[in-house]
Amino acid sequence: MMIQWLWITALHVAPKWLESLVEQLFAALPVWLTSNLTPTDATDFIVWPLLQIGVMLLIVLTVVAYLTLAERKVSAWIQVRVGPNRTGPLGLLQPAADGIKLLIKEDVIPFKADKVVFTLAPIISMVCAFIVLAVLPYGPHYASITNINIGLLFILSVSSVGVLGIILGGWASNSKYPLLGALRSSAQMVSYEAAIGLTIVSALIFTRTFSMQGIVEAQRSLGVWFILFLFPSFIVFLVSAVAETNRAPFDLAEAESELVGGFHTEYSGFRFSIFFIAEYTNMVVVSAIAATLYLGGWYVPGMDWVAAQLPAAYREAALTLMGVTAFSIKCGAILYLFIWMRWTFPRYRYDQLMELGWKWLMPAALANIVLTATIFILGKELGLVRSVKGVLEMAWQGKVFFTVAGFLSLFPILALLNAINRNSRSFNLRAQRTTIPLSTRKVKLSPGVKPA
Amino acid sequence: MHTAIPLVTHHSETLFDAEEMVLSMGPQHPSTHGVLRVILKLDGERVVDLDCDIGYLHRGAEKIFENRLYPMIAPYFDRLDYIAAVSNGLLYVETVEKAMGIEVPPRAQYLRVILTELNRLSSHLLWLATHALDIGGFTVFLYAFREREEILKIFENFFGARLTCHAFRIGGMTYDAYPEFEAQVRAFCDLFPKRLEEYETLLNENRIWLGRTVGIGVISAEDAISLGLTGAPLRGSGVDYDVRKASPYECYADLDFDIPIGENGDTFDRYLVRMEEMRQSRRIILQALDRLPDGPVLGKVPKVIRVPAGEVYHSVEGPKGELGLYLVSDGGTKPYRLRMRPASFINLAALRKMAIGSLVSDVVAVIGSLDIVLGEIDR
Amino acid sequence: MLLVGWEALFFWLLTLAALFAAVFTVSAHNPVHCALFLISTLIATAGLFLLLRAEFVAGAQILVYVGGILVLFLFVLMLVNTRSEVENPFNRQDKVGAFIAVLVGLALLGAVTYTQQRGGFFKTKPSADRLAIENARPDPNAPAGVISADTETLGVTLYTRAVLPFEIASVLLLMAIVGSVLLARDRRQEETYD
Repeated sequence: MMIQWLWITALHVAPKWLESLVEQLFAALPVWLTSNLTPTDATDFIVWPLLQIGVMLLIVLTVVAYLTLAERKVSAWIQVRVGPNRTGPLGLLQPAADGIKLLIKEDVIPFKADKVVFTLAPIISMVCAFIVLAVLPYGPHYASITNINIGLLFILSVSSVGVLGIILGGWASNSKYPLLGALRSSAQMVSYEAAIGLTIVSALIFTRTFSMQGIVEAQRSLGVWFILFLFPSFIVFLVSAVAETNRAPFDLAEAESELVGGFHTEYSGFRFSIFFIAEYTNMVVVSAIAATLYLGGWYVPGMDWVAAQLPAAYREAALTLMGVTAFSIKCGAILYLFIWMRWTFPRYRYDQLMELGWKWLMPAALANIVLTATIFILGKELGLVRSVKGVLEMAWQGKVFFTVAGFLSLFPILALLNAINRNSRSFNLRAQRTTIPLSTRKVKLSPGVKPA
Repeated sequence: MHTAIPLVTHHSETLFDAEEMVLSMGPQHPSTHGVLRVILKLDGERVVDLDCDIGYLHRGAEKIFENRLYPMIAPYFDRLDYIAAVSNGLLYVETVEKAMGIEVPPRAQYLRVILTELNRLSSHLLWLATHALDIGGFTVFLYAFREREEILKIFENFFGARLTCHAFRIGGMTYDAYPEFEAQVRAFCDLFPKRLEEYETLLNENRIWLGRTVGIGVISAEDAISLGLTGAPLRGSGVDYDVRKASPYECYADLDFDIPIGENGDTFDRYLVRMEEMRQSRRIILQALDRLPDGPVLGKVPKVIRVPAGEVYHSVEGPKGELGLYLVSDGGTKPYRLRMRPASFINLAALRKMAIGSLVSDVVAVIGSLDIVLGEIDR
Repeated sequence: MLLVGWEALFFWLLTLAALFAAVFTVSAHNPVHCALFLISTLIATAGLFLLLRAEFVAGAQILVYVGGILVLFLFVLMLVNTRSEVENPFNRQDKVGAFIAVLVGLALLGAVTYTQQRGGFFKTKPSADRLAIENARPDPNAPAGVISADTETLGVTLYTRAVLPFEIASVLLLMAIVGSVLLARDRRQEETYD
């Protein structure tokens, strides 16, 4: 559907000179290369997306730059500070100042570092962070770049490659702190990616597709957000997502009070800022996935009704505008949550992180798959849900059933986690410490002899 | 303290004969609290062996003392434990007073106690700030600095300095409290419990905080005593020893306060002990303010200070533990020898016992919970 | 399927990239560089899968091999001392190895040529399911909400026709995991964690 719209808009909106330009280009290219492409196809699939990519890149880079400012401002509010306010009004030019500072700093490559890998690492990080932006559903119709049928899988795969940037950066520095950071992050990424993958599987039971636009459409056709059906899955995803983006309380790979700078200790200047940009882009990506999978993406219940009230000519534009706004608000809310978490919690320790990943999140995700599948089949047997052309259809009874069942499935999952972890040493530390010292608060030593 | 350890050893028990990594943490590490250098021998992330390399801040203070007149020495003490300059200053003037048998007027005693306890609060707040920062809680860091700022404002009004505060003189105080002193201290004491609750809300029930501190860096009461630990590291292990109670100085004997004691000797207990100590300090300050007598603040002191020949040891309870001073005098105007018992230095010796077998992250947490200050360790 | 146009261009680019990266994988001196070249090979192969319109396989390939297995490879390579670079990666068996490689290569080449000419080694008629799988192409005009045929057929095949091999493989992997954990845990660690 998306691609169709893209074609239509491309055909109608793209100026004629673009097509003629492409035709001229085709004439110049050898025939063997262009034999199975028409100039129209090329316009639709190559030229038009390229324009979109350019626009999107500009927007996202700006968003990422201002995300750093938001992080500093929000942290300042949390910590009763003012935050950056010297550069431009309200500190709005601070990202530019930061960027320029990093750009003109000396670029140090440590002696005895593996220069090729050292240079490659930030590039891998950044490329993987940015490629993913191509498949995100920012809004209906032409508001997203492309819609591929393995969208979600594509995002997962590419972000798993992005880890290599951190690992290789840490290794190539030929220094001890970065190496420790790289080791930590590789173990962390592998475990949390597994948890993310598994928790997404339970979401796929309802979405019936990998395509990001398809997931939004699935929620649109039902008129509900999947967070209602998949609350446990959402929680697992959110926790794993924070770990996946290497942010506090999971920022072990760069834990500044332990490993100085972690994997980017030896990076300076622009290479460092590339890592930085990649990290913040990953935040945007992860929040976009969460928004798409669980919060309806660009869809808000009632937006179709609003669009229907408008004259037909504006309908599409209004829908797009509303969609993009809703999507941004949802992403922003999740990003705010990330920032909030970072400035509230202390840092996990390496083994606790692994424990959380493997003994809490993984069993929770696995149990959730089983439970969600059971609930789904139960709903199907009860005749509450029908699958029509791959998209689910259900009446309000079905929605209520799945919502209630989704929230109720929290309890068996919690019971399972309790059973697994009850004997763990770190389970409910507070309860282990009921006898803590303040009981001795009343103890008074007899006052000694006053010195002469 | 620093002994040579072999740089690379093969551990035959590990599967791949994996090399143990030697990691030099510091002296430029963000969480070694200054210029401490800890040499870690790691098996993966687990600490196999550990050694502290100190002396990066050595200034030869004890040698300088021997060449200074008694009144000239006092400011040097402010620069030893620069976080708790008032306690250090108190230690010095009291030692000399003890050696000379000078009686300090009661008002000066009470003012000294108030200021020392305020200083204990500021030192503990700084400890809390950095300890939380080491474990990753950045927000507590700035919250604690907010309250420390209030104390430093009072200090600035009183001493004219914020860090190296110096107002105690042998025999009493240099000057009396400024007019608004009492009101300001009372205002701070009114505010403080709420702020303490704020920190505890962020930390006490926090799973991550508990996970990072409970059972980390455990030291038994026996070990703590045999290592000579004092202060919170000792009390956290369940030994109720506090110089203020054991051999009270100034007017502590007249004041009613409790000594919090831990049970498990881990980082979390040391944390709780210090948090409770802050409450007790506030209690002491309020009591002292209520009873603050009128009168002179400077006792009868000879023009030229000559300590009679002999030896004197005196100790006070600093924020970091027992601060001792051993004064040997030959009867002149300069000390023959002034030897300090620094609390941090001796507490740091426990790091090895506490941290071996734990992870790198725990080393940082344990260093934070020992509350060391390098100015005092290196002298 | 005959490759023409841009498909051919991409095919040759990816094939050459995969081949060269594969050669460098075995000839690079530094183990981490080997892993990097292996990653390049795997990504190029995933690109070839995309050309075959097996998007799911391509995605899974990158997710599992690059994101999972190779990251673990690197993890291990970083743990052991990778700095001791081998001066000569080839030992004295290199001539024998080269001979066998050439032999196998020639055999493969012959097999491919033979298959091309005769229309296949095994002249059995492909079953209806198999044809269905082979002919299942994602409909470019299909609505976005539909599961791609690729994913669905893979899933159905995996859990119906190939369920036994699938389960055997998973049990095998589980055994490998348990075994390696047992091997890797030394006495000291046992004492620490028990």
